[in-house]
Amino acid sequence: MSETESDLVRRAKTDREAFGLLYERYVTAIYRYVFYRVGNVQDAEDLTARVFLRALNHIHRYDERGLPFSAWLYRIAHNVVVNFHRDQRRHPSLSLEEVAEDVERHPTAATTDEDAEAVDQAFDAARARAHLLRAIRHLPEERQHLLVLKFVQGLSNAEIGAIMNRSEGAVKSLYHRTLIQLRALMEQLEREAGVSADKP
Amino acid sequence: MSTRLTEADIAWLEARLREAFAPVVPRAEFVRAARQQLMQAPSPPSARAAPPTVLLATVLALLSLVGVLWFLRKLR
Repeated sequence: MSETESDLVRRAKTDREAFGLLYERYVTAIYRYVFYRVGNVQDAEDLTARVFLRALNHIHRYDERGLPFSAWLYRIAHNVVVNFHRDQRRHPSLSLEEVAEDVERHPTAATTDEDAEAVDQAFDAARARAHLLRAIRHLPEERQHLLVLKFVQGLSNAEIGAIMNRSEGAVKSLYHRTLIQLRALMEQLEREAGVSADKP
Repeated sequence: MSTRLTEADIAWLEARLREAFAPVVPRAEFVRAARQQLMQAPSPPSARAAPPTVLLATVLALLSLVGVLWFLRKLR
């Protein structure tokens, strides 16, 4: 019979190997979350490792009642990222070059260079993606947190509410306000950069 | 700037967000190294180690309080 997550978490409080299994289960999800909050691989790796070290040091205090283990980890990740930005004393923004490098590292669009049109399309897609990511970086921390949980982790409003300590309705409302602010930021950045997006 | 979003606006923004937040995976070397670091990290303070310390501090505090009260009573 396979071990439930609750059993594994209970065992991880005293058994390092059990904690290792939890790490394997969640490392990719936490890395994704952190990567999109900091924008580069080096910091994402450093902070992901920090999240799990902090979780290891505090797991004896974790009480599973009411808060799933994954939600607890995302809360730690959010705090680690917020502290990181505070320590940096500036809001890091992704440069086009960084995103272009990232697109190469994590290719998502077809980037074949067999013909010039495909290259142009790939470049346009990378530029549009960089533009949107830059707009997201201008959002308040809490709103970035929400978008990453929703689109990177694919969580529902109820799950996000558990992590953010808000009701499902409050998350829905915050999400709507976030989209309005994001669109305004995109328009502002487009005006500044002379980029046009293919809006509806 | 409009503060209203139509269904089409929301669908367009969500499609862009899904494209922008493409799945990324950590490097395998990083995953291995970070796991090893965790396995070798010093043991965190145990939850079971705390209560005796707390109990001792409480007993000492109570004894001090009793002592102070006894001293004040003698002064009167």
